[in-house]
Amino acid sequence: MSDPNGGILLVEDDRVDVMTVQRALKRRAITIPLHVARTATEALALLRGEGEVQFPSRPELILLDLNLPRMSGIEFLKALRADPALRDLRVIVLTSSNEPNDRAAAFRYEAEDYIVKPHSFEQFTTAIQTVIDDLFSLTAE
Amino acid sequence: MTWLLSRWRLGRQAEAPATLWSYTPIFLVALLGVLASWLVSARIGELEHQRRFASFSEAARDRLLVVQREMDYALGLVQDLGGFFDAASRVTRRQFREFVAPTLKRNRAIQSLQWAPRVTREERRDFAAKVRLGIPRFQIQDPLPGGDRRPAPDRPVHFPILFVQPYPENTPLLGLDLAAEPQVLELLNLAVERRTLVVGEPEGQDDKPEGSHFAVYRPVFSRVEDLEGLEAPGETDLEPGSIEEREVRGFAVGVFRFGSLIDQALASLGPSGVDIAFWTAGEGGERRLFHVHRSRARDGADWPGDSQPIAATYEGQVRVGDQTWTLVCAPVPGAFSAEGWGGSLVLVGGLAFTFLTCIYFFALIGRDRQVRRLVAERTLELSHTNEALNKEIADRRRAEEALQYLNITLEQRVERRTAESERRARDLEQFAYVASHDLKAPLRGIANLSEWLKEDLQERLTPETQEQLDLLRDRVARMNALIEGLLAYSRIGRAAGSLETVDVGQLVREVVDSLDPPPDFQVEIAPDLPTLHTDRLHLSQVFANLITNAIRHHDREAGLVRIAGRAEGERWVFSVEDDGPGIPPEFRHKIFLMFQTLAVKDYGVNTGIGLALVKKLVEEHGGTIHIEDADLRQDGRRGSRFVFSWPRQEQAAEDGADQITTQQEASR
Repeated sequence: MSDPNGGILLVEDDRVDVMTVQRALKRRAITIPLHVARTATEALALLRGEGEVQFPSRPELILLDLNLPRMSGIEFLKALRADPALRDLRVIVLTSSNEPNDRAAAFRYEAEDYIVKPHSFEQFTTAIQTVIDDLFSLTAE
Repeated sequence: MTWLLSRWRLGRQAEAPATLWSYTPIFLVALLGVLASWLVSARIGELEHQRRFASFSEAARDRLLVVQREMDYALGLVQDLGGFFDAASRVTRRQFREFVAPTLKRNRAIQSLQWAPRVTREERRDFAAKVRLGIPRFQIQDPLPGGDRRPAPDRPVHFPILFVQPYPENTPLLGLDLAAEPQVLELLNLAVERRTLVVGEPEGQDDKPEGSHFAVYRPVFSRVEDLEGLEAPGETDLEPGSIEEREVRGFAVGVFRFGSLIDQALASLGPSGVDIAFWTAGEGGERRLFHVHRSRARDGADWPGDSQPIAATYEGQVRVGDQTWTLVCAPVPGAFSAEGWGGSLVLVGGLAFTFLTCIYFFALIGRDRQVRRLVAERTLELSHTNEALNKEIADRRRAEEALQYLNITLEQRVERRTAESERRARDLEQFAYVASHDLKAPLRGIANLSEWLKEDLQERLTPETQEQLDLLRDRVARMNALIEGLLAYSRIGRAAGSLETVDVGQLVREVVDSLDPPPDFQVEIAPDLPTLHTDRLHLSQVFANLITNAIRHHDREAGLVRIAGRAEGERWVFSVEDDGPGIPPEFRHKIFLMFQTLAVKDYGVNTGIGLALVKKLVEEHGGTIHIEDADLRQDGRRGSRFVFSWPRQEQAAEDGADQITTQQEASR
């Protein structure tokens, strides 16, 4: 069901955080393609094939930051779930916010998980690893 | 009050008809009074009238009697004269004069007394001649209208007036033949036939000089002895029973002045105001008025032609010889009404009484109305007072309401202020929270970047730059700890934790485990710690911070931390004491302040937030916290003992409050 070539779409505006994810994947030698959208609108355009860069296929997973400029992560989730073509995409929230409201909103729009970005890189790497492991263990079956 | 007011208004509305009605008794009294007065006065008038009529009738009757008597007397005079002739077969002129003189002297009403002898046709010449011896130009004459006379034609029998007295004024009568006039002749025949005196019809008018008068004829018959000697052969043809009869010698005649006669008769009575009309009862019921006696009380007013009606009349009859005269008496106007004051008096009195009664009633009603008006005025005043009172009450109520409103406003203001301050506190917490998150993101980037630098440049770093990178990372870590502390601090009260049953001993053991104290550190936990119903997370944060504080600031490698608790009323008082360096009293008030630390800045992750957090947590749960000297040390110095109180049983704060699940510090 899942196509590894679909890769992961990371929606993140902070370049260091993008680097953190890339580095974590690299540290664990994970080769799954990582696509990055810097804003929620860009991500939506990409997913709908409206952007300049053509997306090869539907992403396996979306890693979503909540604190995004203009369109927030929660708004993106809402739009995603309202779109019939995109509503079944898997989303994991990866954010620095530990706000209960954010957490509740994320789960309301069917996020699979809610990960507060760990402070240390080590812990971050571990968290990413876990996500990837979960993804493939599920897809393997 | 309201009732009276309404009554008054009602009274006002019904005033006009009420006024009319209230005067009804007056009208009634006036009507009845006038009616009664009129009736009584009419009745009295009637009675008076009857009384007056009675007295009038009496007076009239008296006059009738007097008149009758006078008539009888007058007739009696003539009768006496006749008797005089009866008694003497021969009467001389002189004898006659002497006989009647006293009578004439007494009775002025006698116009004349006469003697008319019977003279036959045959005797006429001799008779006349004989008389002429005394009275030179005597002859038997007939009267002519206008006072003239002529020699009487021959008749079978003549009755010339031979004697007449009083003489001087009646001289013209001498020689007048009584038989000349048919009516007189008829009377004479009647007298002879009846052998009694007869009365002639009254003649003349009152307004004529001679006045009304009447004559009385008394036949005088021859005595038997006289007749024997006088028998004569030529007289047998004379009819018996008439004046031609031989027996008749003549007639004694009396002529009376009627007016004088009546006046003379009535002179015996006082003037009483009765007029008397004398009527003859003519043949066939035909009446003729021949004399009117005007009352001496009339003072010259005429009768009966005047305008005043005759109130009443009294009729009576007088028999004069064979005639009957009707006397109609009428009161002189005013004569019998002078006493008629009773009715008028009663009328006037009754009207006056009625008038006075009406005035009395009027005054009574006026007073009644005045009283009513007074009552109405008083009622009005009362109602005004009442209104004023009501107004005052209303004013007071308004003032009260205003006061209440002020109170409410004050309360609302207080509420608003409270709400505002709460909102501000919330805003501040929100700010701290958001700011912390936003601060943490770049910090994490710095931490990662420095780590990657160290990794990537591992071989090329000098020991100096290596140490600098470490210092950088330390500062980042400290910054992170500060932010975490701020976060934790701001989270208190922002989201109430869930209440659950907490075994405090168990909780402290878990906290100590998670803190992983240095191996030489001994943590004593009192066995009698309670089980509370409270916010587990907050309580564990308090213990964790206090224990961390005790370990972190200890001045030796090996230390002792003792945790105990005791019940005190509704609360439990817990203590965390150590055998550390202690806190000088002059700093004790500062250590609960934010970012205040007594140690140097670069010592680890000592943020200065911990104790501030503890104080806020304790106070959030209604407790207090203070520091005491502990006595665990053997070297005579004192350690510190943090004593705080915590509620035994807590009520859930707000339903649906957000829950904080994970907490970085607790999991660490």
